[in-house]
Amino acid sequence: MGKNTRSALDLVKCLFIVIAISVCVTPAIAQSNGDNRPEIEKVVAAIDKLYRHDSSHTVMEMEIHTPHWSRTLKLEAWSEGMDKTFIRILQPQKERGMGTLRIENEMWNYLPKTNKVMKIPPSMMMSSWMGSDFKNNDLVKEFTFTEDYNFEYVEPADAKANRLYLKCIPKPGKPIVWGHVLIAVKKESFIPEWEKYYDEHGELMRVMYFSEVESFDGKRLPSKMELVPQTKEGHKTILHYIEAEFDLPITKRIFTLRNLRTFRR
Amino acid sequence: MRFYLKMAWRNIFRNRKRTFLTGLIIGIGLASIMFTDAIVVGMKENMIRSVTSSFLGDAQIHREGFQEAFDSEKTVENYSELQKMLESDSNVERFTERVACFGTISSPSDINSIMLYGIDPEKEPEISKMDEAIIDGGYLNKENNGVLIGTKLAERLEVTTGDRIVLSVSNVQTGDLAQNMFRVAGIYNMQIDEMDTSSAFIPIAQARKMLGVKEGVHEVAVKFYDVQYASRHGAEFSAHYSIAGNKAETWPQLVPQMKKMLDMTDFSVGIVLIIVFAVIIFGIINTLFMSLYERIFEFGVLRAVGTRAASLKSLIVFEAASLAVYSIVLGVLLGTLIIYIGSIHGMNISGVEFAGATFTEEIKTVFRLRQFILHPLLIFIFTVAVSFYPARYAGRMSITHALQKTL
Amino acid sequence: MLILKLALRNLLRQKRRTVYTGLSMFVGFVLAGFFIGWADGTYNHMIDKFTRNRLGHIQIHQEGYLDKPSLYKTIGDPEKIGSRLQSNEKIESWAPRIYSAGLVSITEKSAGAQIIGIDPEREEQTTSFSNKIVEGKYFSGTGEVLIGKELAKILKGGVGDEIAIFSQAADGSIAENLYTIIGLVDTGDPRLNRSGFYLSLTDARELLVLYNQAHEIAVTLDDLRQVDTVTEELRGFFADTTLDVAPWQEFAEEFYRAMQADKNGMYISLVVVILVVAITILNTILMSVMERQKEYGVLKAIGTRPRNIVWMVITETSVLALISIIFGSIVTFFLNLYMAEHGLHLGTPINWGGIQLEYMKGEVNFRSFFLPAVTVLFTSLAVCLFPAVKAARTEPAVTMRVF
Repeated sequence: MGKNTRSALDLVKCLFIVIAISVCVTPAIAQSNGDNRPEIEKVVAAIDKLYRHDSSHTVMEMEIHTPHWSRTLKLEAWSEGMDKTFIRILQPQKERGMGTLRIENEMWNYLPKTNKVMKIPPSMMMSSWMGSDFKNNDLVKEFTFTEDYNFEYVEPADAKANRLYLKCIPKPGKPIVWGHVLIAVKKESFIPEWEKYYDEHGELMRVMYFSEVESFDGKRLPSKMELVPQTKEGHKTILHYIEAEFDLPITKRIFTLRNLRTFRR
Repeated sequence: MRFYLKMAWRNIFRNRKRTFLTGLIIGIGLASIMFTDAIVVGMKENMIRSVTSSFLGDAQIHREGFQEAFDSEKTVENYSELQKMLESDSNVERFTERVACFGTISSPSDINSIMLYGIDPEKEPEISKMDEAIIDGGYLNKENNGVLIGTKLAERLEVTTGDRIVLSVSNVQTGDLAQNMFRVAGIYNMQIDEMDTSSAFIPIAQARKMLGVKEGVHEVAVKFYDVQYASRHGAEFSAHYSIAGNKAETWPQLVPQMKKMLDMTDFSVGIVLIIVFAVIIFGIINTLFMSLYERIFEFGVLRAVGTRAASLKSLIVFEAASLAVYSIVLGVLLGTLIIYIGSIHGMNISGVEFAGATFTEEIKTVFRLRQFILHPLLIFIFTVAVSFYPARYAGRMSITHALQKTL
Repeated sequence: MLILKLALRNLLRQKRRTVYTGLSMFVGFVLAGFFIGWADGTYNHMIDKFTRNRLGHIQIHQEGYLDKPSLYKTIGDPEKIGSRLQSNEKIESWAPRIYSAGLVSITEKSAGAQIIGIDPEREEQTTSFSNKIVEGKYFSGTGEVLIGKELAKILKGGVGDEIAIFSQAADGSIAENLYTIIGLVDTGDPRLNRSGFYLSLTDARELLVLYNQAHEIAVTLDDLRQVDTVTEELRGFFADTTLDVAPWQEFAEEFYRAMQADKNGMYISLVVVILVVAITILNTILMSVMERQKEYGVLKAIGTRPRNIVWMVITETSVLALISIIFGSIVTFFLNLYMAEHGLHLGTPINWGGIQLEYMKGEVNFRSFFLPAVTVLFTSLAVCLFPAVKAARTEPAVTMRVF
């Protein structure tokens, strides 16, 4: 399958990755003990928890920038654990009604214009994570910093006063492509400000920015996530959360093919 | 009759030099036909080998239906039985097992979908020349987590030897995605697009673990002692091993385009040989006629002293036959020498790459029985056949006419 | 010149010998010439057939497309470029194509597909596309698609079914549409048969939002042999653009290499043929000259200078050689011309890569005259010298001995 095949599902991949990463919002406001810096494990745990949730329902906007075009999509998504995800595209008009359902390792698309549900074959499903600004590992295999990395505090040259800086190195043997990851979090809230991903040779490959912290369903989290690849010119993906509910009961009906087809315009 | 045969033989040696020269020339002609034949055989074998030894193998066995969608569950049935069969097969030189599936390879820069092969690092190099195609780094080691990728893939992923990549495949047992980290052990250049851009090789043990296929085998690659075995006895092999839900195919079935091309080569060579034969035959005709006309006076004398026309005819034909035999002996000796030299010291046609620069070996000539039997026989038959015309002429001519021819 | 007169009269005098010698040169020439014409003709014929089938003789792309294909590397205004191409007489026709990839399905099962947008008329002119159809019919309107026959099998569908495609358009939006399968094709390439999804250019452009663009322009020439010339011309033509012009040797590299291997095989055969022709001529000339030893002896005895004897022999041989070459050329010309126009009908058409080879074609070219001529001339002259010199030097008494 050529590169064209991969780019074909750019959007879909982004959606998934986005959803999986995004809606994890168990508030993790850790408390720091009078110490200069809090226990690092707590900080890492808080960062991880930012990506964990039991269930979620969100509405968000995704801005995708490529050298050839820029688009903004409005999406509504439901998720349960890391296994079930349902996404519906609300805007723009051309894609309105398109849906994607993922249950574990199976994935289906619904295309309103042709009124067809298409199952994505396993070979293409993996390829669907390619080419997007978000990576395969971000979504499909949930890596936690706690379990899969070794971490330590660091003091970079341009350190700000109220920030904590962590350096995370993948544990040996873990199927992670990164050499190491640098994270900056706010000292009080443990909410990340940015994550910098480096390859083994120390080259900066991509940066994820977190900003515009707001309250959603009683929890505070960055509503804006920006992923900027460092080696590809002109690519950027920005996620904006508009609404979010967490750990809510979601009916089984949502994660069905039937639901995929049903769309009230 | 015996008498004339003897006389014929002695006649041709009367003018030793001339006979030798003529014999040599016909002999060279024969030798060149033999040589052409031998080198074409060598060329074809070279072509076949360069394709089959790149990775294909002379034959492959899969589970029926595997090649349609590369479903990891479709492993070769009853492999232990199959193994025994192959081991005891006198035509099979060696074989190896492989595991194959779709997957993705990712680096910090990019992700690509690929065909992932799990190979036996010890057995594989004897069947496919992959280890020779490696241009950077080294080969695979049974133990470690090395992966071999092609130059173009390495470029896309922006990795070099020693770099870290992650391979993902679908585990058939759990249905989950299996991901493992590997390090680029080596980068190869096979000059075959598919192999260089979208394939990766890891040790079969690791592949099996990731796929959850235990001792399963997806593909058995077989190499025969005789390169031509697959094209000659392909059907037998297929029938013999396509049992218990498996499908055995030889390279003509796996790459039919190759077979067609070889067939075309055969056809072309046929034409070449015909042309060469034509030239030689013409030379023989010419020679015979010339030598005959030269001796018209002599024949006149023979007739004048009482030789019957029929006997004269036989004499001429026998002379031609003797000359043919003499030439054939010379030719075969010369041809054997050339082919022998050619089989040891091959011809290197530089600038020709067929499926891999590393695979161009020199083209060596190959002995085939027909070169020593068919071609000489044809020359003999033609020479004798051609002599009938002048023989008739000689038998018919008037004696007085003949005696008048001097210089 | 006395020697020339003498040479001619000698030749005419001994008709038999002249005819034999001349004939061997003539036949050798014709066979060698025919072989070259046939070998070159077949080679070019095969390349022509193969490239005309789908790829074209020359392809034009946006810079870098061949190395790293991308949906965005397009040729703008292909129709305008096409009309410029058409003004070149050597170019027979051209066809624009659009390439992408997507996911297709008829019922439940989906598969990856290669989207290929073709201009029905131009494609037909350039590659006779409709010949590939094994079932159904060619394009006649919009909303139609031709798919590879293996793809139909994988999707468990056929002519008349509706097939949905899902891909990404050039503006980033999702491209999805439904088309009717109007036919199945056998492209000769098993991979394409498993993934080929052919849309009309208009439909493809709409689906992928690539108006007035193309990824590739395939060009066929009247005469394949002009490929290098025309490539240079076009490169000059488009020098001030970012377009890349590539001849078949570049974009069909694997095929080219295979053909080269074949060609080199032919060279070996050529050497053999020439060798055999040479030794045949050698034989005849040698025999005829040796035959005349006595003659030379007589000449020497009556006072001819040795030098003149040698000259005489050389002149005779060259005149004969030239005459044979002239006649040989005429015959070879007509023979090769016939082969070039009509060819030899093969008993059973050889099916190769989806192409039917029905004829073995020949060719008329310079090489087929030059090489045999050189061979004949060189061989005959080289050979006649030694016995002539020998005769010129030996004592007449010795050479004239009859018994």
